[in-house]
Order: sequence, then C-alpha cells, then structure tokens
Amino acid sequence: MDVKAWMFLSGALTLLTIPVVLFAYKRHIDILLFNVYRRLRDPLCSIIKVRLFDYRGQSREGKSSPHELWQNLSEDMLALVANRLPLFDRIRFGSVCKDWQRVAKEKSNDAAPNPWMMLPQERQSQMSFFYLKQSRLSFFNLCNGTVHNFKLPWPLQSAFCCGSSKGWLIMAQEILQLETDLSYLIRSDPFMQELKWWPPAILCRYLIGKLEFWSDCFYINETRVILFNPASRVFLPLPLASTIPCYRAFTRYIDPVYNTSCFFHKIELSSADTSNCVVAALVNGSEVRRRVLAFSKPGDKRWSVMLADREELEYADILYHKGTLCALTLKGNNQVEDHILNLGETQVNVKLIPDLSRRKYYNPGPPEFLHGQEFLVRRDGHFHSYLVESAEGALLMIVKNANVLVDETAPDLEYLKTSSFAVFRVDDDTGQLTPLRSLDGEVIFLSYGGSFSLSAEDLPGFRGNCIFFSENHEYFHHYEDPIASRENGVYYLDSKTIQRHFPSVELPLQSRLSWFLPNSVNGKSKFN
Amino acid sequence: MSITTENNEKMITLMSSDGEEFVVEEAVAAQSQTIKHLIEDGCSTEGSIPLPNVTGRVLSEVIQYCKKHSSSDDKEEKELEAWDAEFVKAADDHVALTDLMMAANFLDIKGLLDLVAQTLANMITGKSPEEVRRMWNIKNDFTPEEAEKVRKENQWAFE
Repeated sequence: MDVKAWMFLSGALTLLTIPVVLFAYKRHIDILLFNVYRRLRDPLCSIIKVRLFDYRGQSREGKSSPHELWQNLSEDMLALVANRLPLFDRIRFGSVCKDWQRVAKEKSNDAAPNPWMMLPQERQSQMSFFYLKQSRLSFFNLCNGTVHNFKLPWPLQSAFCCGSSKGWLIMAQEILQLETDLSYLIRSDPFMQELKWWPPAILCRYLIGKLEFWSDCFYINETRVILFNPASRVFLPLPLASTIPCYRAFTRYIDPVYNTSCFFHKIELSSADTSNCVVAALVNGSEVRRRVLAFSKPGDKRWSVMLADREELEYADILYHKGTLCALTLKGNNQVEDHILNLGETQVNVKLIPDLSRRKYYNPGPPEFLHGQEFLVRRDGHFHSYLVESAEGALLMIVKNANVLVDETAPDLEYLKTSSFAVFRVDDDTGQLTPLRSLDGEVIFLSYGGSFSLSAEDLPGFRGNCIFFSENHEYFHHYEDPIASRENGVYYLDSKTIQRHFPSVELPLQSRLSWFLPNSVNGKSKFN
Repeated sequence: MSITTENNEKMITLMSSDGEEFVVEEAVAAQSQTIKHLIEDGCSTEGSIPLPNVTGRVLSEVIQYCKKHSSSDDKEEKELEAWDAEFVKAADDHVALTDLMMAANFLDIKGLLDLVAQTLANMITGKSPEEVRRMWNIKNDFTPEEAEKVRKENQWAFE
C-alpha cells in the first residue's frame, strides 16, 4: 500500500473518532448538568449550600481510592452485601481478597438458603466412552429459576443420584461382573497395564457395545454408594452393598430392569464433615417392608448392620436429630426406645420412635368410584411417613396419604397418587404426636432421599405453610411390566390443595426426583 | 436553631463533617433513626445537629432519599422503586456507594441501607473475582497456593 492510501485511511479514522469523542464528552456534560438540575429543581436543596462548581473537579478526584472505601466498611456491612448474593456469587465474593473471604466464611451463616430440585438424569449411553461425553447432573434452583449443570467426574459416570444429606449427594453405582473381572485382569496382566488409567466402569461400558455375545458378564454383582460433594467435586466411596447380608436377597427379589441403587432407601450423614461422621443407611430387605439399618464411616471396609435381631420392626424413615439417629418404626413397641450401639470405637445413639399416627388417626374407606374416574379408588389407601427437622429445630413427622387406583381387569396393578399430608410434632422422649394445623410459615421439602425445612422468610417469593414433595415409587412386584412412578408437586396446608408443576415425562427408571440444599460457602454451614 | 415554615413544619439543621449546613423538615430527618433519637433527646433545640461521620456530599444524597421517602408514604410502590433505582444510579456518579452505605448505617436508615447493599450486590453478581477486583481496584492478597485452595473448595462456582 502506498503512502497516499495510508494518509487517506488515517485521515478517515481521525474524522471518525471526532464525533465519538464529542458524543462521549457531551454525555459527560449531560450527566453533570442533570445532577446540577436535580439539585436546583428541589426548593429545599437550594437552601443547601451546594457548591456547584466544585463538583466538576471533585466528582472523581475527591473520592479516595476505591479499595480504601471498601476497607472502611465494617465486616457487618460487607456481610449485608454478601448475604444478598446468589450462592455462586457469594462463593466468588469470598475469593476476591482475604477480608472478604473472612466475611464470606464467618458472617454468611444467615445467608439465604438456595433449595434446588434435582432434575432427572440423562439415560446413559453405552457409547459414552466412545464419544467421551461426560454425563451431567442438573439442578433447578428454586430461588432464581436457573438451571445448574455439573459434569460428573469420570469415576462417577454411571452413577445415579438417589438423595442427599448435609450438602453431600448420595450417588449409587452398579458394578457389573465384567467390571470386576476387568479390574482383576488389568491389575494382573502386564499387557493391559496401560488401561489402568481408564476407570473400569467406562471401559466396561465400552466393551459392552463390542461383546454382546458375552452376556453372562453383564449381570450386576455389586452396588457401590459414593458420597459426592458437587461444590468441591470430592467423592468418597462407602463400603460395598454386598457387605450387608440382605443385599443378595434383595437383588434376587427385584426385577433386573430396576437399578439396584433402590436397595438404599435413605442415607443420612451425622455431620457435613466427613472426617468425623457416621453414615446411617436404611436399606430395603428381601421383602417390601423389611428394611434394615446399617452404619459405616467413610473409609470403612464394610457396613455394620444393627438391631438385625429385631425382625418385627418396620422402618419408615431415618433422620439425624440433635446428634441422635431417629428411626421411625411402623410396627413393634409403642414406646420410644433408646439404644447405644458400638461402631468400632464410635458410639452411635439410636432412638426408635413408633409411628403412632396409624394406630390413632387412620381410618381408610372401602374402594369406590370417584366421579369421572374409570378406576376404582381406595381413598387414602396408602401412606408413607417421613421424619423432618423443622427450621426451628423441632422433630416433625409428615404423613403422606395417597389414593390407590385399582384397575379391575388387572387387580395386581395399583397406582398411587398423593392426596394429602398430615403434620405432627413428635415428642423425642415419649413419642407422643401433636397434630399441627400450620407450619408457622415454614416450607418443607420432602423426598425419600432427604428432606429439610426452611423458613419462608428466607425464601423470597415463597409462600409459607406448604410442602414441596417429590415421590419415587417403584412397583417391585410387577415382574413383567416394570413401573416406577415419579410425582412432584406442592401441598398447601391452608387450603389443603395440591399443585402439580412438573410435566409428565418419560424418565429413565433409575433417575429419582429429590431436593437438594447445597452446603453453603467454604465448608462452613449450619450443618457443622 | 429551629425554624418554622409557613406550613408549621418544624425545620432542623444538620451539619456535616465538613461544615456544610442542611436545613430540612423534621419529618424528613426523622427517617434516620439516629437523628430521630437525637431530636427526642432534645439535641436539636439549640444550634444544628452535628453529624461527624458524614460529609456534605454524602449527606445531600441521603437527604434526597429521605425527602422522597417521607413525602410518598407507601403508596405507589412501583413508582418509588423506579425512583430508588434512578437515585442510586445518579448517586454513584459523585459519591462512593460505600460511603453512602456507611452513612446509611450510621444514620440508621434501613431502607437506604438495604437499597445500597442490594445495589452493590447487583454490581458483583455475575462477575468473576478478577472483574470485581478490577472494578474497585481491590488488591488480590492471596498467594497462588491459597487462591488455588479457595478455588478447589468450591470448584463449581468457578466453572
């Protein structure tokens, strides 16, 4: 390019910049004038000695440097800002500088909680290894309506989330016979050493696509539960399920199409700090209502089954309340029983609380045709009891009633549809139940996999006195036709009505619906 | 020093740290719980109320806010919200919001304190720590190891 062209170009550029600079300058003047005008327009402020001309020079220079300004704010005032931030911004706030980190760590305990709804997990492609596509966990944030997606670490690829406790997700993973064989081969065969960098679960899934004929390797011989903290991406494997004696009976009992992760009905952590925590599991036994209590600590080799001799007990739910594991029992003794059990060197306090509501308040009617329904309906023919700790720290029992829809042509098929909830306050010592008409402005998030209660005051846009429920019901006795129902809705105690928001979609059988309360900033939370 | 206007509104004088005097209606000044208590204790009958922690510039903004909020009592909430938003935007041009926040805290005006805190929170929302530091010229006093540790603890917020 010759000199002329350069001169032409630079001239054109200068000409172009002049209006831009002028425009910016005009805008600056406009803003100044607007502020002057704002003051003059105000008759009272005209009394105020506004030094109009000082503003020009002072408007920026008069301020001290921004960092000093922030330093002037006390920690309490910083916390006022921090506690208004959404969860992730609050975390990032803590990584700006050390002062802010201290505020985020120490002062954000009263920050607004963020309840999340776990969205159904994707069906896993057997070729995920080939595409190197990491499967994800997705959550719907009920406070700001956003969806958070997190990639699962490679070793957790084939795992399904079956609940949560104290900010940890409970991931259950099936282990195929092939995988066990494969890891043995890789360990022992020097030619396969280079495969050791691949997680066996993924290699396995890849091989399944290739080795269709080798079908006897596909049977599931093990289930592993892994605690997964999505915040730090730390995961901790718990002992294998087969160390609980009734696991084999359970896998023989259920249809292979069901994921064996449903062996674990509920898992509770005694504390969010996993270095010092006892994990309690309520697992399904060989029959529907024969559940068993098992305990372990992260790093243990096996689960310890407790109170196995008490065959008459039917557990409905478990919950750590004031450091004691409360187990709700449907049958057996009408009194509260306290047990101190030994798990290695750790003592575990267990309290068996009888669910007296059935014996006192339950009176189901005969099946009838409800208007407009072609099914026979047994009103409130099914119930499930849950334990929840209220935001105030009281022990609550929630009884969910469901209508049972019976198809006369196939009497085996019974469908459940949630109809109502009853709330009771439980006396820890006597097991006495007090029916509650209202939740005092609390919102309860209820699911098999973990429940919690929050005050509606902390949840902008929420009405108090309601129960957000999500239901996962597996119909294990339907051998030919595997069915699982997933229900999701809100029950309003004031009007005794249910709103269902979640659309009817076809989900993978393994994926369960649950609520999740992320453990807040930097490991410090109300759970500790 | 108390002046009474035609409307029989009691006027009081506020004196900022840099000696500016502001004459406002008592109802306006009483939006501040601190001033309200001072008036109740009889501090305003003689001379002006000194506010040693608040500069004239900040005080003039605070008075703007109090005047608006004492004249429109709860009605037309929408309009007031829009006014608040406009007010903070304009205030940000010539006083530091952090100064305004400290004044609101000292004068104990809850509405203004909430408003400024929310505005600051909105300015931080959606920004990376680096952007926040740049916005307010805040020094990063983490060592690389510490920064990595903070990041690791809550990796999901940085993805």
